[in-house]
Amino acid sequence: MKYLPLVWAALRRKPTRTLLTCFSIVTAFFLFGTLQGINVGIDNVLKLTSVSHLIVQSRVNQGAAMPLAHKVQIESIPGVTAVAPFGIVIGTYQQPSNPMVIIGTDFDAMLKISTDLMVTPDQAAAMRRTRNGVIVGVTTMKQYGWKVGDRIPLRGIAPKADGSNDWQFDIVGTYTLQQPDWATRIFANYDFVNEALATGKNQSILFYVGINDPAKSAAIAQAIDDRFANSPNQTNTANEKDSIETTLGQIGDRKLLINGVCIAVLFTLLFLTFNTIAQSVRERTAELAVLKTLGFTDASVQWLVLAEALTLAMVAGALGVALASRVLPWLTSGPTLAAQGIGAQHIPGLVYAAAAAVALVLALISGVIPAWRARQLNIVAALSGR
Amino acid sequence: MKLTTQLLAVSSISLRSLPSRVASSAVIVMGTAGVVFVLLSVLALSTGLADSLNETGSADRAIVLHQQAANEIGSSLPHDSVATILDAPGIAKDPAHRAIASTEAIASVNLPRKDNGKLSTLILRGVSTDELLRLRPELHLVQGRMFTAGLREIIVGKAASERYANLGLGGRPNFGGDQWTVVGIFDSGGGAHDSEVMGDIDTALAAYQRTTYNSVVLKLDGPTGFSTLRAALQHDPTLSVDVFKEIDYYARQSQTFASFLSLIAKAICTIMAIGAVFAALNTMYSAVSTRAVEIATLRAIGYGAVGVVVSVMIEALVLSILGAAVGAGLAWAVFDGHTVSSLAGGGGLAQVVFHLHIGAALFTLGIVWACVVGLIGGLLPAIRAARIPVAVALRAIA
Repeated sequence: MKYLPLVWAALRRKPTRTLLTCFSIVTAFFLFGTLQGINVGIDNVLKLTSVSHLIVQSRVNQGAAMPLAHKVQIESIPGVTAVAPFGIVIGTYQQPSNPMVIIGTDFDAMLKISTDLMVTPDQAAAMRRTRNGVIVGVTTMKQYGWKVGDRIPLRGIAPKADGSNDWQFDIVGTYTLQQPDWATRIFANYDFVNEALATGKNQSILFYVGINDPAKSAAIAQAIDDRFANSPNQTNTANEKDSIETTLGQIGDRKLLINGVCIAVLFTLLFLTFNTIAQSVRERTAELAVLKTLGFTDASVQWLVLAEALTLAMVAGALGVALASRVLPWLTSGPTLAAQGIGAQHIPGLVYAAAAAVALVLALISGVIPAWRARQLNIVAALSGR
Repeated sequence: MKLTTQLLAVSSISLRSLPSRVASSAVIVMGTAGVVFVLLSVLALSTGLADSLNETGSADRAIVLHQQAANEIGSSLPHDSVATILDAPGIAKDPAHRAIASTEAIASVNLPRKDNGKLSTLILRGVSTDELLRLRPELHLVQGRMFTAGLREIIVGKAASERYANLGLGGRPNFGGDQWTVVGIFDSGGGAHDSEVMGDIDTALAAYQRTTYNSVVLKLDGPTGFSTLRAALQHDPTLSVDVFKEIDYYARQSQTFASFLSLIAKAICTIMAIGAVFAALNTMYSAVSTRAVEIATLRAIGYGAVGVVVSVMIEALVLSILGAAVGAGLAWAVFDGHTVSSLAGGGGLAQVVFHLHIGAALFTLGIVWACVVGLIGGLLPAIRAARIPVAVALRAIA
């Protein structure tokens, strides 16, 4: 601790240089924090998605409708506890720029399948009583300032059976999840939606399937796909995690891209910090020699230089990550992500730890050669300017 | 002394003294190299895709979709509309006086990939068998033969055949509950169709129990064909369709994805560039302070402030352009010619396989970014250099 003023003095010797280096490190760690935050955030979405239930989609065409008749057949497969269909209404709320997706489903079955879905019993009962009732995720409620009891008008993309495009839904309740930010869906009653539709009646774009034993999920998934193997509507069944992973995997190799950028950024930075420290040691040759003359050991001079690098990297790194922690939730709170059930992301602890480790390694690598030079410094040679 | 001679003299002095400042100069080179490498790598994705989709479109073809449909998947044309469309003026005719046009339906199908066995999406396109080759002359079979109408036979695009299991010649993939046979492999010159599978339209509709088409693709009759056709289709009260030149249609399709990617690339690279500017400032400040005596000497013997400013700027520019070259070269060495695929065809529903291409346009862009970094990074130190009081700097020697 008594060396702290010395470290501080060394950093303040050329304030412009220290500040500029600091800013570079801040930008680098800002990028590191944001990108890795997104990376880990997506991993977390995958992790939190459950393996305790299956999702049946059309094999023919992802997002294509399957006949509702599949529901009964899936229910008859051993190990299946409940099946919920997804009948979709796509519309806009108030303005064309507010797209909204209503999921017509069997809400009781959803509750049985998705145990993390939290709804009060009387609201679930109200959903059973109210034909045009909807249960809305708490985040969506907050976003539009809705209250339970509100009636929300919606303009559908496709016309209804009665020729109009207007839907009216009554909010009978809200649901939340362990991660409340992700409660963004709107559930309606399948029967109500199905009856009102003009086209695409008795269809479902996916089935949520509850199973009695998560360990058997692969076998049950296979059994479901086998059941429809010879039908024109073949299915592709996977647990939620695999299903999301497949979709994400098709967009591109996200991890490779993000890690590539981070490595490029940090490698560049390494050079910069090394240069700053090396230059500062070179300029202070005489001063370091004076320290040694005063009785500082070789080792303590070496540590002094290393401490300088560490302070620089740690302080600037912390600033950068702190900045990222402010920006990331803002960046990920868009409505398009919310529609997919993904809410604002925060930088996870793991990324903070990784950033600290990277800053440490960065400081050590960039400081080690200048520190070694400082250690080897010969007092007489340095002071005589040789 | 003339300004130009001054500039030349001072700049050449500062550039020739670069080797003595290798380590700190390398910071600028590395900084801009990093920025340019990341920028070009990500942009290569978006331009590669745009190139691939643009190659698919031809200026002498048009595509008819349902009104306000954003893409083929979202469009639905009933049988009688199609008949009316094919009768419209402005469409080129074959020797038998039939319209050179293909009524098409697309279905996206999932097949396991060869490399990792994971399901991936591609497009099965039902086409009018008789006119296919007259409509798309760039399409030619490289293996096997054309499919026969009425049979469950398909021809497979080169890229798709390489990417998916079971799509080689003689393969028997399963679409819509039926087995189909691959009878040919085609090459359409690198466009999006190379990632597709084509079969007879009526057979495809029957297999998917569909009665409506997605689009009509047709050959335009000369340069005025498009306006004639568009006027005719728009004034027909029985039709609610939009018609686009094919080239415009595909350009629009690539836009969403490409602009998303280039937005990401530019956001990340702007932040990186800010970091690189700080690094450049750092380097140039230290360069100026090491050269303080030399600069002061120049000023003392009559060189002007402008010359000094410009020489510092030129040094920063040369270093950052060098960095751009390193970054671009690295990106080129690592990524040029790579084949990647992304979810972009058929309105973002099917995989399109395309090549990454890092060409002159991207190189230029990289250089421009590097110059901006160099200029901003050089400006403040250059001003400081010009302001060093001559007497103070020279006294420092003693």
